[in-house]
Amino acid sequence: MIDVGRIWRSSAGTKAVMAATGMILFGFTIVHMLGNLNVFFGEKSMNDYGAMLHAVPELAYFARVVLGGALVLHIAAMVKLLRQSQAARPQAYKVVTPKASTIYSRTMRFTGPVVLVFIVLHLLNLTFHGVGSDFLHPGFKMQNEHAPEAYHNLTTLLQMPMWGVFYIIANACFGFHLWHGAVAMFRSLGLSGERQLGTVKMMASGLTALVAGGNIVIATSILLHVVK
Amino acid sequence: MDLSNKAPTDVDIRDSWETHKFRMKLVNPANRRKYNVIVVGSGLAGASAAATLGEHGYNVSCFAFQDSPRRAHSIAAQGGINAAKNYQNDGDSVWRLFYDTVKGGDFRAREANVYRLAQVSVNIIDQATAQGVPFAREYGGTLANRSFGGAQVSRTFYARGQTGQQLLLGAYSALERQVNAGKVKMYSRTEMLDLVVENGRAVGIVVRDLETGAVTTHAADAVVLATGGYGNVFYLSTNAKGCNVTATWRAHRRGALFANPCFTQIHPTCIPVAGSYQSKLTLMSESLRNDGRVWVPKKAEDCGKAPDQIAEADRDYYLERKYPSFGNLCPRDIASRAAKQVCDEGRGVGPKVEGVSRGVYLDFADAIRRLGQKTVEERYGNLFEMYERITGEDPYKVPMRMYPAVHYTMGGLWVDYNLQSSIPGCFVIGEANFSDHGANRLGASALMQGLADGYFVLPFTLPNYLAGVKAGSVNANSPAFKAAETEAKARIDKLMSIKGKRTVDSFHRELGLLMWEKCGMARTREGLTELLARIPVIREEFWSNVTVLGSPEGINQSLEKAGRVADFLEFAETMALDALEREESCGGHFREEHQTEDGEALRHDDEFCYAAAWEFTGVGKRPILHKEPLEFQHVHLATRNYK
Amino acid sequence: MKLTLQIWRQADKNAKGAFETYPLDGVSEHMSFLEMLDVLNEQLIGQGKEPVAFEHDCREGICGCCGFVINGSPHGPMPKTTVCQLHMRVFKDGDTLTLEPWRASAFPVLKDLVVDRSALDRIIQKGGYISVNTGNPQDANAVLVSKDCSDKSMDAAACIGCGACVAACPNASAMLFTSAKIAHLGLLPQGQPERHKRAQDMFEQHDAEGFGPCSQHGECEAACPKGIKMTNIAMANGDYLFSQLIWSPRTGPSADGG
Repeated sequence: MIDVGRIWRSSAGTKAVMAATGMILFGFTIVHMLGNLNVFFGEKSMNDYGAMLHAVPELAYFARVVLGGALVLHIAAMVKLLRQSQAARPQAYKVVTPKASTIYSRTMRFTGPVVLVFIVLHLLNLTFHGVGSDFLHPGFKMQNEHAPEAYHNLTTLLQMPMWGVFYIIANACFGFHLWHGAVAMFRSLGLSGERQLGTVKMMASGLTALVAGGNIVIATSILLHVVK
Repeated sequence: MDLSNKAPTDVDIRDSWETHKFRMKLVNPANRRKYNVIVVGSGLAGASAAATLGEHGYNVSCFAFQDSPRRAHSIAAQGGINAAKNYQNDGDSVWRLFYDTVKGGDFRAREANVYRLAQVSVNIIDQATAQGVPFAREYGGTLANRSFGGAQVSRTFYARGQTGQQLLLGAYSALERQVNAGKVKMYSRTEMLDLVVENGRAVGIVVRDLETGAVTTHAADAVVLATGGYGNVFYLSTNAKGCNVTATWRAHRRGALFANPCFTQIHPTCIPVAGSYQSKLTLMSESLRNDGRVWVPKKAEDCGKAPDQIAEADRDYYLERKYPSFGNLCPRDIASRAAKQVCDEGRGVGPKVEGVSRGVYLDFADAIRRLGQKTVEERYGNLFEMYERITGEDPYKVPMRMYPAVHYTMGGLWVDYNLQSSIPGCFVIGEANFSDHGANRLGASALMQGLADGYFVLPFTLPNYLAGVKAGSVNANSPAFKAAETEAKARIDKLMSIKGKRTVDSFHRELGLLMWEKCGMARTREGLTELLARIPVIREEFWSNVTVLGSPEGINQSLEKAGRVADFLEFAETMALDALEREESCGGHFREEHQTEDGEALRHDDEFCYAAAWEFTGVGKRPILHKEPLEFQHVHLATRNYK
Repeated sequence: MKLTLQIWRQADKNAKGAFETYPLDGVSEHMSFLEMLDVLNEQLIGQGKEPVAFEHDCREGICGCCGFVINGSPHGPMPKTTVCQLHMRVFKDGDTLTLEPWRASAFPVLKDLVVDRSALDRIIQKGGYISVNTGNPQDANAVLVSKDCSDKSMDAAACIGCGACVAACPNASAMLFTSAKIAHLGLLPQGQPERHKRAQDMFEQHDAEGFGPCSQHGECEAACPKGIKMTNIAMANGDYLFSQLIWSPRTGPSADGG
């Protein structure tokens, strides 16, 4: 039998959990970004897409459970690994000269929490409209019982400078997070050998640019009223 | 003194080891755990012996002064390991390896030992491969070989330029496996200070824990010394900084005979000295001589020029000229002396240190033209990188500069065919014994001997001794242990209390320089006599003017060094005496009085065909010389000729 | 040339250390870094001060004894160079150099720049070997190994166990060291029978020693004096996960200690 506890206790196992859940979440964000591109094809296109996602409510809830679970595990893994890392070097160096690590890899522990805050606010903004004040979900409308009026909600929100700028910054952080994470997760799962490394790097950075870039383009377009 | 070597004399040499193995006593597997064995040293010989004895079921304690057994200096051997596998089908055989080794050793080794070494050489390769040593391979998946100095067949197995490292890591992994199994207890950062002898038998050791400074004793049914050579008596050598003579010298002081200390090997290809602060010399693998060509300018006035400004016709490829059939691959002692000769003639190259350029070119331009840079890089890449890091010159563009340096010591504690010293229960393996190499060791044979002793010889001969003693009969609280411990502590207190003006290193440097001058590549009666007069003076000053700061508790690197240098100061005298007494030139021992008209070594077999085994009689007192006569029944005494 | 050295001095394991500043004049550019420290130590002894303790042995970059952090870089600024092979020509007259020991809870400082790296030995004890007793195994050429496998295995086997990877890692992880041994043996046919158990046992010991997790920063690879690659980490992770998810190796030592 697979000994889940044993895997979780080991740092490589925790790391694999972090990588696997990261992969699920990354996969979701790719689809999510592509779906959001509907905003450029007008209100109907966007709203139809929104309605389609909610056509089978059970499926939507299933997806939420999987993604929510992945997120929780991802965060739990991060907390565990961060503690382990801090315990491993109780005394810091006086001088540190990084050679290979990147700003992306060194800021994972900061970009992660920013992305988490973003996810929470984003869900409050556009999904859980019943919670909190109007400040969080200004002018929120529903198409029907299940599907929100996606185009209206999104454009209303992001045309407010505060939200628009926040979304852009948060997605930039998300891009930073993925720039390192998308390559690292393959290695953590033992999937990238010498030969695949180049391909993995190319693919991972391409998709990262696509997701974070796509989201930023959408948010900027709305903020600047290119999309009204 | 009984110097019978115990090798079977009633059978053909080809059968002597098998016969001997059968005749030796065994220890029942169920009884083995009752025996405690101490192994001092964790290099190729020590680690392989400790691991194998652990596998057999004995209780082994292994001691090493470094922080991990993997640091032992065997790790630095670059070129390779010989084995009579004849994979290349070029006429190699056990007999030929035996013959080459006896001849290469200039007829000063024991035939039966050398034959056994050649025999078990093939097992070593099988064993190491099974352990996962990543030897170089051909595209077809078989093991690759290269040729090496002193041989006309390709019998050297190698793992890039890190063969010693890979073989040591193999032995180290076997050792760590036994540590995990609880059969070997590893004592790292623990240095042997003395051997405990009781009723004429080795029964334990005194050690100092280098981390805490605690001096303690350990008892055992047998003690194995695998503590390497004494090349650091020269201060500058290719040995690691920590290499020392202490363990073997202390055993010698307790009664073990020290044999042939004057047989030291000078390695022809080392990076030349750059300045007076030099702390050690770096060896470049001899395998470089496979493809590199050695030369100096024909005319002394060209020596200052850049090498590419010297026309082909003005270069003297002196090894190819003097030794046409072996050329650049002639044995180490010959290549070394030839380099000294051309530099003495004023044709050396490179920067002048104390007024003389001591260096010769080792040129790869031809090899790069013939094989392409890629192949050369594959064969020697890491050596070239190392050279460039040290000298700041790129050997792909500028020829390397080389000069001989002390590298290996053939002498060591005298042992019989069972590898037992003249103290029963004290076994000596690897470079620490006086070994199978005679007066000169062939390239790629040190790794072979260390592993042969540790994996395939000692694990048979040690039980033969153990079977004759009662297991666990040694009492660690006996007066012999107490006395040895007190003595060791008193010596430390003495070193700490001198509080003189000179550092330990300054004494070591002074001794080393003197030894190199008078007892190095070429020796004379006059020089050695002078040396013998000067060593006691330095020793006396050491014991009255050395300074060791800090405390004997905890890590004190000066104190560690002081103990080692003190022993070198005693040992050096015996070494110089041995060199003076051996009125002949053979192998690594070159006496200027004894040479042929063309400057080649001249042996005197009628008088000196023996191993000189010295018995300690007291510091500053003349030791007693015992002679083990050497008989050559299979490889007939002949003048070495590599022309 | 003239240097200012800021060196971590710590009397013993339990003492509190601090940086001391030493000026040093007359340094030759051809000296190795350790020879420069030798010169400093001789001067300190002359002044009646205890010399700086640092580990070193072969001084040719293979034994793995030496190593400390120079201005934030383990083994100093030169790539693929141990501190004993680092030469002073890399530095400039007037430079200030800060020397610190490897810092990791698994590597307690014993004195000055000397740390205890026995944790690495204990990782090897758990499986960094092929369980074969000394004896008469089959002929070495009976198992063919492709040159490619053999070369890659050798790349990983070149590790000298100096601990620079741990020192460089922002998490003080020893994954590069551990994975290099797993890859060295796992790439050879001889290493296959124990491949997954080896990864499992060595990984668990790695954690038990208090090393941190791998975040794939790549500092280890950049600091490694022997050019050990992070691809080994990917391979070892794969072996470990295989041992946990697909094929569960038996646990506990075998009869003869494997």
